[in-house]
Amino acid sequence: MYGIVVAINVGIFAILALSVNIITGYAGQPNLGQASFFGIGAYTTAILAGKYGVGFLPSLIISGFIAGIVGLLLGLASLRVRDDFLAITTIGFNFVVVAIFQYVPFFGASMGLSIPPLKLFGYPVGYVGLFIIILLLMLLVILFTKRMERSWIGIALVSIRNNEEAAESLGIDTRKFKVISFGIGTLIAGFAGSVYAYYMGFIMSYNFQFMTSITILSMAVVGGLGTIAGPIIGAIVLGLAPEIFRFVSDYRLLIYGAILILMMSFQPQGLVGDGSIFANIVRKLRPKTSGVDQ
Amino acid sequence: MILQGKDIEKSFGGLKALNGVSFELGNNEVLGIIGPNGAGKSTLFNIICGVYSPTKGSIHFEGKNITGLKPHDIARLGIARTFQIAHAFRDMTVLDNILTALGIDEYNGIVSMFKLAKKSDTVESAMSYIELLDLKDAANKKAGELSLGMMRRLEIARALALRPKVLMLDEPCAGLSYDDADEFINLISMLKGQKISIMMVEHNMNVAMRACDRLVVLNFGEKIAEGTPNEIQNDPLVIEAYLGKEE
Repeated sequence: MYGIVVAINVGIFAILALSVNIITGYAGQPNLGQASFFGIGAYTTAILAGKYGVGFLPSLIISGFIAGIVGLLLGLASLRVRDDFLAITTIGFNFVVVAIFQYVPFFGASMGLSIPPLKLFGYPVGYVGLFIIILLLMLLVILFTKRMERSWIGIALVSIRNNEEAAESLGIDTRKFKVISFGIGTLIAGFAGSVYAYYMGFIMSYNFQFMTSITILSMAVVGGLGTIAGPIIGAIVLGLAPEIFRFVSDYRLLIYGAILILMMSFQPQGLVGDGSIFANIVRKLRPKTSGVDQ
Repeated sequence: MILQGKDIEKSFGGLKALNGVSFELGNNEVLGIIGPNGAGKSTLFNIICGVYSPTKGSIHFEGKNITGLKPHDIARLGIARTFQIAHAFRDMTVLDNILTALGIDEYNGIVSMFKLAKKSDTVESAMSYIELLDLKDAANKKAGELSLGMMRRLEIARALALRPKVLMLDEPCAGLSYDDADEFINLISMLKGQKISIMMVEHNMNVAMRACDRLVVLNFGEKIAEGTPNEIQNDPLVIEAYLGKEE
């Protein structure tokens, strides 16, 4: 029971870390407000399933798309700002979204919203079923990211992260691609939010605070931005750390913070990022391939 | 004539960086823009490439007015550029840097952007540009690990991979050794043989004199002379503005 709850939590955060990875890891656009899209997804599901009795799949899909559309709008608004200013804009956005959940009665205000237990084909789905759904969702996100990495959009996003002016000089509409990265990354966070709502059964604005955004981004950074394995490993390491170090419960946050500081000092590219100790070992062990797709 | 600028004016706040500059780039010509620091060379260059739009005046490419187009639109029309400060994609391999340029026709469509990039024929085509600029040994290296000379060659290879009609070079020899600059001049004459028109901003007079067919001299935002390197060398106004000071 306890194991599966931890696994579900780690799984949801792995999807979230993968989602922010598309915006921050590949396209290189700082995003410190990813929890707001997680929240938009969760609240959409709470309203659809809780108030209108909409089923699981439609709730999941609509929640993703609503988060994605809001993400596109934030992406559009962010075209005017870059780097640190973009980071601050996304933080501000997170506060605004949390405030709306907190004070607007339609969103349950300070009482939060409750979600009926998940049922599929008339049967209740327990924690194990939920975990399988999360794994499937994660697999889809991984497959999508893999495809993206190997196609023109992946090349365009990484080129923008490296040098916007040069990308633009090669015919890449950098504004369009930045907005697309926001749309995709927030859509995925919306899916994660929807599943989270079913898992929790009850959500409050508190769950989607700025601190949650930091946690999501930290996971992607610790694992390795711009890789697929990185955010997942980051979510596992940082997701399990508070559980493993429960015996020193008073100092859990201290250990969490120390992991972040150590990583940034000694492995800023993340555990599996390019040039990290782990990546170098793998590169040495693996036979050379040309990387050409037929 | 492939590229033309008419009466280009550009002000930054109260400062007039360019004041009524006109130029013409002939087919298959190498045109150099020279002038002392602050003459407005880079401003002119960036206006042509769409980074700035001019306060007044217009740019025409193959007879079409392209004033005010975005840099990515201009690249798509067939005007490629390099940068004064090396702008290689440092985390990407040399091969991926070149591939980025080869995707130019795929970036527009939402479906085509999800097509696989590293098809064998695309990689082959990228390798041909890598070989052209003598970067074969570095093809799988990260661009950030290259020397400055190699990075400049990479940028030229990447610009050529757009298959441009006009190649714009912003101080291509800045920071290069004498030998590298020499090699660069050979490269320019080779490109000329491939029917590419070239416009370059150059600070190094020796390179400009040797590489260019014609020179436009700017000083304080105005064109003060135009002609063959020989004519320019003997122009008293140019000597006063530029060469005289340097000696």
